[in-house]
Formats: sequence, C-alpha cells, structure tokens
Amino acid sequence: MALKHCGCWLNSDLSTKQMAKQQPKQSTVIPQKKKAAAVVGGDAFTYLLRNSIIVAVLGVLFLLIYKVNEGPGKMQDLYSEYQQLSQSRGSQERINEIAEEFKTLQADTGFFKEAIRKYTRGYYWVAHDVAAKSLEQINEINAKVENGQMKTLTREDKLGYKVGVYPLIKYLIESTPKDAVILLPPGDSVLSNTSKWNFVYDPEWMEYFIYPRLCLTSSRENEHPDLAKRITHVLIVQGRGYDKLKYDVPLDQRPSEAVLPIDHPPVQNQNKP
Amino acid sequence: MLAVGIILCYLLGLSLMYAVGRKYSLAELVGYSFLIGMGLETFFLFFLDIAGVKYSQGVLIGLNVFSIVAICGANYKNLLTLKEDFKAPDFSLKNINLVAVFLFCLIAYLFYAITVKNLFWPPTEHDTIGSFDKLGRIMAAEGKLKISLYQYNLEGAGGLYPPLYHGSFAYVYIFGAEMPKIITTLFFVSLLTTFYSAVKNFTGTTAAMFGTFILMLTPELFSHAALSLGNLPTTAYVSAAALATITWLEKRDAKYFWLGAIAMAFVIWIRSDTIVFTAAALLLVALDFFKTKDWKNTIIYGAIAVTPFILWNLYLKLKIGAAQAGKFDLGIGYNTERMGVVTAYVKTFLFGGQHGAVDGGQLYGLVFILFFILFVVNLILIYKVGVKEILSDSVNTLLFFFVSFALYFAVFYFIDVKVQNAPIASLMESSFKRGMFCFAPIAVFYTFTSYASALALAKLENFRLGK
Repeated sequence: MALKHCGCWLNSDLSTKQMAKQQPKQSTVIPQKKKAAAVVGGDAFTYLLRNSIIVAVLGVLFLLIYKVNEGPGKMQDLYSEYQQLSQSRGSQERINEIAEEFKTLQADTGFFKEAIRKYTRGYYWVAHDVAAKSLEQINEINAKVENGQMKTLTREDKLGYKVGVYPLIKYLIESTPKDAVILLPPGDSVLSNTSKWNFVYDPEWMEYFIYPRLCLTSSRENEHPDLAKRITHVLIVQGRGYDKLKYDVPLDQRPSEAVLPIDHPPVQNQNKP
Repeated sequence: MLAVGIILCYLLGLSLMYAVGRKYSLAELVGYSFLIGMGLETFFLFFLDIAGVKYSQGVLIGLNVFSIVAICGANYKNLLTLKEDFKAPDFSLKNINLVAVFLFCLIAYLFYAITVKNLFWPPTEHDTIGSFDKLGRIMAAEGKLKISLYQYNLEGAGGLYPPLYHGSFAYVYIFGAEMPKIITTLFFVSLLTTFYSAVKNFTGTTAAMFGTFILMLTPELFSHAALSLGNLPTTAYVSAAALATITWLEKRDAKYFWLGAIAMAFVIWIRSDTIVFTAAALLLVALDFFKTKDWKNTIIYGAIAVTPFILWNLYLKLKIGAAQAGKFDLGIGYNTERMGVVTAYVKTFLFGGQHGAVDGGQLYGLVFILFFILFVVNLILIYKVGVKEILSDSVNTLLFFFVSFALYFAVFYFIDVKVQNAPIASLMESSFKRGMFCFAPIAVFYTFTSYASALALAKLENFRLGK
C-alpha cells in the first residue's frame, strides 16, 4: 500500500498521513534560484565558447593564486636546502646563491600580494606540498622499486621510515615472549623533548606495536598496579633503567639501549639492539 | 576478501536507502550508502559483542547477506519498479557543462594525489597509534569490542569514544586489510559526494561542483584525507546528516527525513561530543513541529538521533565500567580570562590571522570568510528584497550553524582543564581546531545556496547557457 504513495515500505505511515500535509515544495519563491533550464541559447560553438571563457577565467584565477604563493613556498624549500648544506658543509657558492635568491623573494611583497597570501597560502600548501609533492615523492619511490634500485617497501619498512624508534621497538618484540610485561623509561624531559624517541615512554602508544605484550611506564607504576607486579623486562633507553633491574650489570657492559629481563641476566647475548 | 567486505558494506547501506526512498542521484547513492552501511556494520559489531559472538568474516558475511536480503525482501515491490527510474544519460555536445567538467578534473586529480599518499603510508599519528588503529586491530584480533586492554587501562583515550570510527577499522581488518586507511578515503568520497548532491538539490551542477571544490580544498580538511584520525569521518556524518535534514525541512521530500535521522544517529555513534550537532538538529525539528504540528515525525527523528548516545553510555557504564562525566566546570561562570582566550582563537579560526600557534588563513582558507561575507551581503539585501525572500531557504542552515557553533563554543568555554590535563590554549589549538571541520560543509553550503549567491550564480549560469 505504501508503495503507491512514495514507493518505500519504511515510509508507510509518514507517506500516507503526515507527509500528506507536507507535499514537496514547489519551486522556490526566488525566481533567480530556479534551476537553469535545459534550454540553451545559440549553437553548440557559442555554447562551448561561453563555457570555455568561464573555464579560462577560473584557470587564470587559480594560476594567479598559485604564482602569488610560489615565492614564500620556494623560500621554505631554499631554507631547507640551506640548512642541509650548512650542516654538511656543502658548496659555499650554492649557499651564496640561496642567500641572494632568498633576499629577492623576501622583497617580493606588496599590499595586494600579502592580502591574497593571507587567505590563500593554505590552498597553495594543499595543491603544491600535500598533493603534488607527496605524489612526486611516492612516484620516485615506486620508480626506484621498478628499476630494482630499491626493494618493495613493506608496512614495516614504511613504519621504520616514519617512526624513528621503530628499530628499537622491533628489537624489543624479537627479544621478548608474547606474555612479557615491559617497563618503559620515564616520560621526562630527557626523552619527551626530542623527536628521536617518538613516544617510547607512553604505554598506550607502545602497546600498538608490542601487543599482546603489555607495558607500563617507569615512575608511573601506580597507574597500572596489576602490571607493576608482573614486570618481566625493562626497556633501557639512553642508559636509563638499569636501576630497575634486580641484578647488577657492570658499567662497562651497559649499552645505552637494551631490553633486559628484570630478574636475571639474559641467557644469550641479546642485549644489543 | 577486503573488496567483499567493502561491497557488502555499500550494499547494506544501499538496501536501507531504497527502503526509505527512491530516485537518488548517483552522488547520493555513492555517499550515503557507505556512511549508512559502515554505521550499520559497527552496530553489528556492537551487538555481536553484547551477544558474546566472536567477530569473524563468516559471521559478518552471514549477517550482512541476511540483512540485505531481509531489507530488500520487505521492499521488493519498490525494487521491481526501480528500472523505470533509470534513464540513459544524454551526451549531446550542448549538454556538456565544461565548467563543471574542468572543476571535476581538478577534484579528481587532487583526490587521486591525496589517495595515493593516504594508501601508501601506514598510520603514524599519535592519536591513531595510541587509540583508534590500536583498538581496531585488537578488536579484529580478539573478536570483540571490549578488548583485553581495557582491564589494564591501556586502551587509550579513544576507548571511551563510541565505536563507529575504530569499529570501521576493525571491520576492514577482519576482512584482511593490512592497513585501515582505505576507510579514510571512503569517508572522504562520501563527504564530497553527499555535499555535492545536497548543494545540487538547491542550485545547479556548476555551483555544486564549485562548492565541492572549495570544501575539498579546505587546507586542514584536505590534509586529513591522508591521515587516520576521526575528524574527517565525523565531518562526513555531520555534513550528510545536517544537509539531509535541512533538505527535508526545505523540500519536504520524505527520503531526506530518513537519511537525515539515520545519519544523525551515526553522528553521535562516532563521537559523543558531536551531541552539539544533534542538539541543533533537534531544535530545527522541534521548531518545525510548531509549524506543522507533526508530532510523529518529531518523535521518530529524536528517537533515532539520540538512541545511539544512550546505548553507548549504557555500554560504558555497564560493560566497560567507565562513565563520561565530570568533563565540565560550570562553576567558572563568566571568566574574563577564559572568555578572552577562547574568543581570540575563535576569531582566528573564523576570520584568519594569527593567534598563538594558529594561522586561521592557513587552516581554513576562505571557507568561513566567504560564509560571513555572504551573511552580511544577505543582511544588506533584506532592505531591498525583504526578510522572507532572503531567509526562505537559508534560515535552517543559519540556525543549524549558529546554534551548534554556540554550543561548541560553550563546551570549550566550560571544559575542565584539570580533567583534560591540558591548558585551554592547547585544547583550542588541537581539539577545537579539528572540531571546526564539521562547520566547514555547513558554511560552504550556505555560501553557495543563500539568496545573494544564488543571484550571482544564476547570472553566471545564464551567461554559460547563453540565455
């Protein structure tokens, strides 16, 4: 029965009773908002010409926005290159070139340019950096793989590329049984102020990689009392954590990074990541 | 098997869509079927957990096939007549909208680029590693929603969030995915297609394509299309739900009532703090009740939209043993300092400029600027044209935007920084910033459908058509 009214069974009540009062609105009261009728004036050529004019105007507008933002975008690239060259003590000639180019770009200002940049630099970043540059980078990697210059990257390889501390995490996984409970280093300024160690002190973050092993952070054992009683291993980072072991490790045999059983020295030589 | 899982998800959404209406555009079919399908899949995961049934491909395939057959069976008469609705498209030269084709090509290139990036790199963001992806992986491995990590408090902050987002990760993992990021891409497609179809319902193809282009390019939103964080999927649901509801209120087409109510239910099934959008939608429906006296619609909409919130809070309390409470400090009353900080950030997000570490123009580009320019232009036009004309089609959009934004503002103004363990400036720069995504589609929708913009777009369209 409902089908006769609106063609759907869930609408049975609504369509027959309530919706009866709510007939679809006729075209809106604003004449300008009527959908453009399919009637097209002129021949196909002039129609396509008019369309092309709008496309051209849009194209020029987008190009203008792109060009206005290109300078500051290039400054970032130049700055990165400068940093790289100064760290590696690279070509002084190139450094001078960069400085000159930087000065020229810095001087390229003006009220209108700055006003446009203020609201459109995000769009440049999206089109140039987030989309095009990333695509180029990935295409380069894929090309190297196809040419045999690089092996096909697995998920683990990519994680290693993006997460600096991943090799240590991988070593931790290889060195511990699946039911291990691992004591992580404390999340104080020594570790948290550098990106080198990512979030190795954060048990919620580490759990992603090491599951089904469990973990807790040193000095915050009270947050996980059940786990604190079951610690089996200690993750040593930057030489910190040896005080948590129930045995002594000679000072000259203490690597700065290691995974050690908490109760007894490791049976095999597995304390070097 | 991943393809099977995704196809089933689309078919499930599609079957429900045809149960509540017919004559959908292609964009609506693509967008809503995934949003509804994935929402339902996570409902399945939720109820399987309650029933104590372990997740597996077999169980999910069986459940999907059964549900699809049951829905289609109940709706078979409607489905039999569907063939009449499909017409072969007309490809004559004078029907090609070159402007829309040009914009579509730009959208397609940008979408391709961001998708390649998204699918190439595994998730590495702190929140997804510490919460969402971890929850999804382990849910798939252990076959339940309440994973073992809950007993050690190692589930992460997302463990208290409703399960739609990490449930969608679990769903693709169950079907054999190595990485869950296909989900981001599918949510992004759904956001764009549902938005396009909503704008097209009020204007034309050119304006809808241009609006979609502007929305897609919103810098911070676009960058999230290569990440695995919950903000973009939340935006997809808020946008679809709000715009379908607004379309129903304006056009009185019953199918949008159901799409709006169902999508609004999933808004609160993906994050609990999106209750501000549910509240705004309920206000619109309640105001409509005073006009139509249609109590049944109001109750049905309210019940569908709010039920997931109740379900999840009961689950948190009874099964997880945690309750989402005490997040706010209402005792601060009017605090000049807090108001100053929150307002300064809001101004930066909406109108560009810089405050703290935030550059509003860099994050949201022209999205909110255009919204406010159009808002002012329409206000000025009131003197010339009259209030009724100006507000006839946009009052619901404006109400939804301003009410939900006021509530969102209040949430952050009253947030208890001690409970959050972070200063208010930091919360504004991270949480508030990303929550702003949800307002972007509503702002762009208004920008392209208000009276003034319709006037300008009609002139452009007349030129394009040579009228």
